[in-house]
Amino acid sequence: MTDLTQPRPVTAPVRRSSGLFGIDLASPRHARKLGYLLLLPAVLLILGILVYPMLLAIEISFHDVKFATLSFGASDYTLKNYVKLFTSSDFWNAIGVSAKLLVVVTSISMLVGLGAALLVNQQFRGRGVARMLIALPWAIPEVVAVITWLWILDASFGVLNWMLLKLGVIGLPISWLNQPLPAFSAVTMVMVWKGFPFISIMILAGLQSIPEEYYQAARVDGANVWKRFIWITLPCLMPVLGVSLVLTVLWVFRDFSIINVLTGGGPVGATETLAIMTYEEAFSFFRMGYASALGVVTLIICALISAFLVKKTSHAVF
Amino acid sequence: MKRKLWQSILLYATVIVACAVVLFPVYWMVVTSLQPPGSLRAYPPHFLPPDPQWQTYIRLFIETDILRWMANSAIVAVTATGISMVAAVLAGYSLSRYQTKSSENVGLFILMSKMLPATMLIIPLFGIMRSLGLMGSLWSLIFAHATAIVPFATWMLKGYFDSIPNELEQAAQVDGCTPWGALFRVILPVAAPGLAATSLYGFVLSWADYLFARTFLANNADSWTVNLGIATFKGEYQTDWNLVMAASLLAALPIMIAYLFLQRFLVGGMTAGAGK
Amino acid sequence: MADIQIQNLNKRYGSFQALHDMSLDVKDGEFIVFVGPSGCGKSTALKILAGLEAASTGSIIIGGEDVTELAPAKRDIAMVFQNYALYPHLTVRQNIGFGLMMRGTDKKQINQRVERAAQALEISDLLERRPKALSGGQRQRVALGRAIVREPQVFLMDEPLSNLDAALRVQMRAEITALQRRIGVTTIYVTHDQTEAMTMADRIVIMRKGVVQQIGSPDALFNRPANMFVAGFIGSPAMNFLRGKVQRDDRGLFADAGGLRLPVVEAAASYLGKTVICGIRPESLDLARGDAPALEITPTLVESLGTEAYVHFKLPGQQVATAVAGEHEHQPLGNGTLIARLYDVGTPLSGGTIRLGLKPQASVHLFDPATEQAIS
Ligand SMILES: Nc1ncnc2c1ncn2[C@@H]1O[C@H](COP(=O)(O)OP(=O)(O)O)[C@@H](O)[C@H]1O
Ligand SMILES: [Mg+2]
Repeated sequence: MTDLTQPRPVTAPVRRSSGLFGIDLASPRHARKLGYLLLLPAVLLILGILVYPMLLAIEISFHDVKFATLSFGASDYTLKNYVKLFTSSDFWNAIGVSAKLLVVVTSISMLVGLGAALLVNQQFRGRGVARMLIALPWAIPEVVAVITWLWILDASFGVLNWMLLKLGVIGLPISWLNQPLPAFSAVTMVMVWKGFPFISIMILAGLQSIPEEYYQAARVDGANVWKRFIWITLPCLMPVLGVSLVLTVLWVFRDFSIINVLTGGGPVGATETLAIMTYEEAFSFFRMGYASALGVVTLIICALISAFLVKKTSHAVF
Repeated sequence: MKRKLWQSILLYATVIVACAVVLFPVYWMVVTSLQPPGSLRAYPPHFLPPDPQWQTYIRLFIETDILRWMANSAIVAVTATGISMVAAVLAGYSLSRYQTKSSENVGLFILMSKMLPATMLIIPLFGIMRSLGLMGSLWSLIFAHATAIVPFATWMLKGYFDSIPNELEQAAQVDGCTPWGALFRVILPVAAPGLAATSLYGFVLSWADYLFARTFLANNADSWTVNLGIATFKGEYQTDWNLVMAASLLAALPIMIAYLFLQRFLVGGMTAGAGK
Repeated sequence: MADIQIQNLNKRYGSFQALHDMSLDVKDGEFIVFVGPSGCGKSTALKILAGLEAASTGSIIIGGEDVTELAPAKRDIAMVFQNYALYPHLTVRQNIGFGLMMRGTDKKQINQRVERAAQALEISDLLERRPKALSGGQRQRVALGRAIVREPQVFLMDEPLSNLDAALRVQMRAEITALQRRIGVTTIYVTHDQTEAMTMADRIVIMRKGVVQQIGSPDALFNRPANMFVAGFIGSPAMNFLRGKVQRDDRGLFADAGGLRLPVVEAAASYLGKTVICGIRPESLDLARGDAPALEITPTLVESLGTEAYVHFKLPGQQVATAVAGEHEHQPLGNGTLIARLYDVGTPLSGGTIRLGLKPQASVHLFDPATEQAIS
């Protein structure tokens, strides 16, 4: 015990470096500079690969060009692309398809996601495995998922048609991808399958963070399962539901791979969303000015939707 | 609360049916890949292949470049995730610890950049990559993916760092660390589950990409990623569904495995990122 | 080991001033306690000392060297945090040895010193555990071990005991004091608990809203509080404050507080005929004998603890409430209660009126009602 009163051994002092550019960022005085410095790599990446292209896209959308230019003000500005856009029936069709898909896929995904999360949040043996399996589609690349579904949906030999026929739901095999309504349903089915697991994961995490005491207190007060769900679970989940909703909406609205590989936007534009149309115009018809105008419209709609949703759910999100 | 027997049965039945419905496509992928070509069109379909054909996979390796595609995908995903993790760790840490009014705005800016539609960005990016001579090079994909991962990853990690008490790195600094050392020796090890979840998110995002790969790499088959390869391959081998499904399964396998290992971290990580 | 000079320290968070012009000289080996209600800036001051926050203006000098701009790592200090801040991914041994490792001490010496520190704190058999597997008291000891093993120039401790239960707190209080005396390292200890401050400190710095109110030994603060805040904060139960009129009669200067005759110091002469605030500690009151002038009160509550009894009472119009109750500062309500702490009462006190008088030799503290400063 008394050892501690011995003369103090010499401890090597910490090296007094002068740091970066002679500024010691470890000094309390420079903490703030260090804070900004840490943000720099992320900000540079985003400025270079997201913001600069965004500005370019806006620029290109005001030029009548076939290919993307990399400088600003290179040729005359024109509103031609936008005029053409707003008078094009394809454009309004794409808006309609996007909106329909948005509402249908988002609402079904949210419901399925909530249901799945509630299910695997119950106490039962093998719950860990069930949690893992039920969200597995999240980890499957969209292209792979779609190709698998193409086989399942195959008009002649697909297993889905066989099942539906067997169950007597349909009388004749459906040609899923060649008719407008079935094609739209197929897109919905695949998107829900691919999209609900993420929502489940989010909601599950939200469910786990609700203190058990809330439920116990409600039980003591005599609330039944349904009332507990309405008065405890849902309000506590609001933040997570809000975030999931925003992310899902943005995903559905902007997704390219699923529709491109599944239907290519067809038949006769029944599944042609804004995203699909933009890409087609740019890389199939090489009308990049026009495509950029479409992209800018997509961006504006995204901004409006998320501003609206964030406002509706902001008390919960931030 | 004890559950009654019928409630238990109902619960297990629901779970099993739900999992079966959700997992059916994966199951069907496996089964189809093992069917002999003749029984692909069997009616009724075979739900268990009578005679599993493992040589389908051998044929796949011989006839296609799937291994190269997967290697390309792996290179891109690992590098892009690595780059984005460096940026996201630093930014997330800064947003969590060095809060000022302007850094808060930068944080919102980072989050908002997730809103930009990729189908719009890809038009000028196509031109940019071409002028940089990166068209057909994996680097074009690496930079695009890294940047796509950064926004959400930054916020996921910020959530994680927020849950670690400030005093931990203060103690480390008093103990002789620079702020830098405190981050690497104390905060990052403590945030390991968060780092794992975020890396998984990044890896999945990059591995799943099709849009950028298709646009930047289409004309250089050597650098195709697995999704691009399979989509093209599917077009050529229209009816060899056993081959196509075998390729699909291989393409999905790496992240399915990573997901199975890291899933429990993901559940915590997602809401952390959502600003719970 | 070193002395510390804090010179005109100010800290602003935006427009909020957390520290006002704080100055303090700490002698080598001294045990200083910063005490005050929550939010008064104690932790802020400590963090600036540690280099974890930047001072807005002012300077810190440790052992003759100006460290104001120096990183925490270079100040040769050790700090114990309220939540202990043990590294969860390291064992106890690695936790304690972390600081030495960072300073490049060789492995063998680290082990030796870690074990010696563990021995001193009686945690030798916990060395291979992780913090998660420790009780609150054990974590506390590990945190102390981490501080002492480096044998730094200065210890800083921020409410290290407030997460422990009451009994353990008393024990650790004594241990920390003994440890500090033994190794003689200059220590600054932050607490909101005046009992801790009184029992541990060589000198106490008492703060309120970022302003140092008084610096002095526990004795000095108790017996000669500089103002009503200090008088009310130090001592438990808290001092009673009564309005009284300063008068003079043939027995000398006194204050008349509701019939009680309180002899006062000559310095109060300038307040003759005016109202002042008289501070009387609960211990200074006693049952009045005979027909001496006394306070006639009706107890609102009598708490009997066997050998002593706390008699709560009210004197509407006469009493003055202070703005502090233990840890928290609040708006004075004017409806607090006064307390007399009576010893050996004998027969149980009944609900009827009681006559309270001042004990002989008991001192009365006088305060200016406007400035709340002590009159002396
Ligand atoms: N980073 C900060 N930003 C703004 N205000 C702060 C910050 N840190 C502390 N404060 C404020 O400074 C005051 C003093 O805080 P502190 O020193 O922690 O008090 P305590 O005496 O309880 O330790 C409090 O009112 C607190 O709200
Ligand atoms: Mg404090």
